Amino acid sequence: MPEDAGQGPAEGADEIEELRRRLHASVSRVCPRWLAGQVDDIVQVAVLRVLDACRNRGGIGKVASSYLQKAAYSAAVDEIRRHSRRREVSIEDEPEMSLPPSRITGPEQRCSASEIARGIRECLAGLGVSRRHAVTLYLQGYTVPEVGRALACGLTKAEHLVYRGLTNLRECLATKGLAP
Amino acid sequence: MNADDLRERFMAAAGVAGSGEDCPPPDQIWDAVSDEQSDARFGKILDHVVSCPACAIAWRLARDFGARERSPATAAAAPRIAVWRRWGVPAAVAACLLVVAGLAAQWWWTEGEHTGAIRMPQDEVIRSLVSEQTRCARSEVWLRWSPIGADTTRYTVRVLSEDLKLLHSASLLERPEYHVPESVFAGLAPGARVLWQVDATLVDGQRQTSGTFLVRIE
Repeated sequence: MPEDAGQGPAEGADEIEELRRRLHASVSRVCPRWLAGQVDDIVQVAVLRVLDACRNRGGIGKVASSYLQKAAYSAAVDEIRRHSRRREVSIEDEPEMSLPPSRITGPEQRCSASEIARGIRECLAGLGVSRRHAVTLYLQGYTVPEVGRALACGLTKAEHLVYRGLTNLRECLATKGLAP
Repeated sequence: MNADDLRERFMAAAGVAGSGEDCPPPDQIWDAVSDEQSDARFGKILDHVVSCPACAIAWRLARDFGARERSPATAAAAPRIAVWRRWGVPAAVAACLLVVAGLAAQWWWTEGEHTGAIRMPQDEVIRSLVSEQTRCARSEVWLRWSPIGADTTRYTVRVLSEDLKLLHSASLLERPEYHVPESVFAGLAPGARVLWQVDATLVDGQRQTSGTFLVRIE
């Protein structure tokens, strides 16, 4: 609880406000637009978690900034999951989180996009493990060198896995009638 | 559907169905994105991401929040040791078989060259279509080259400074051209010469590397 925060060894009001400001900046920077209304809630949860941790670590100043990021991240993911369970929102705007504006507009295109997204997931699940992992990372926005580093397999192997995996994926989508 | 379309469709994930009780805790996704999970755990979480749009978002969010990426050293070293302990003898046998297979393949390839049965498109050479004499504006550096193979060929372009420092690379290009982002040339003086090279990967996995070409930057 926020009022408990003052009972810690070194958490003054100014420190807590500074903590809140830092977390707010961090969450606002990366939060998807469709979660913008929940930024304050996410920050509040993150502040409480950090203050909890402070009690064991000797004050806000002793908490690593990486821990702050992780606390903010956990709070954001919890909120995303709450939303997806309640299905209060459609996250069709989600690509704006990290991609250029989506070309998918209008209800018909959204319906088709949903079907294709489902098809991609089904087809990915049918790929061999290495290709599935490589293509999943690639579709998640990794570059090919990043895929290679993540899978510890080298650039050439990563290129091969992604390239062949995407080919398999397209073939699978075509069998589902999902090719353009 | 090109790679960018697939990426966009995958990320669109309309509906967010699939977020359930079996989702890994956020900490575990964070640790998977960074290098703090075993490879087995990493694979398990990544497989979950395939079927769970909410966790796919969580994965991307971890990167956006700055989770440390898996480093080649830590990601590769631990499993290699573990795998060798578990598979030491079978691996040695497999290595011997590989040597035999390699020798057989070499013989087969040599025979193929004599008979013309197997052919990398040696007669197809990647040529630069960019004049080495012209100076390009930094915002308008288009690298173009002669295509090889079918439309399914994919290209990788590497851009290097004159002292062979890698400035930029781009992979899985579907067309024999690439627009180099202006930011790549930020540290170069006007009139600098930049080297570039293309790797082509054919649909059957064969690869061909171009010569090294030159482009001058204004």
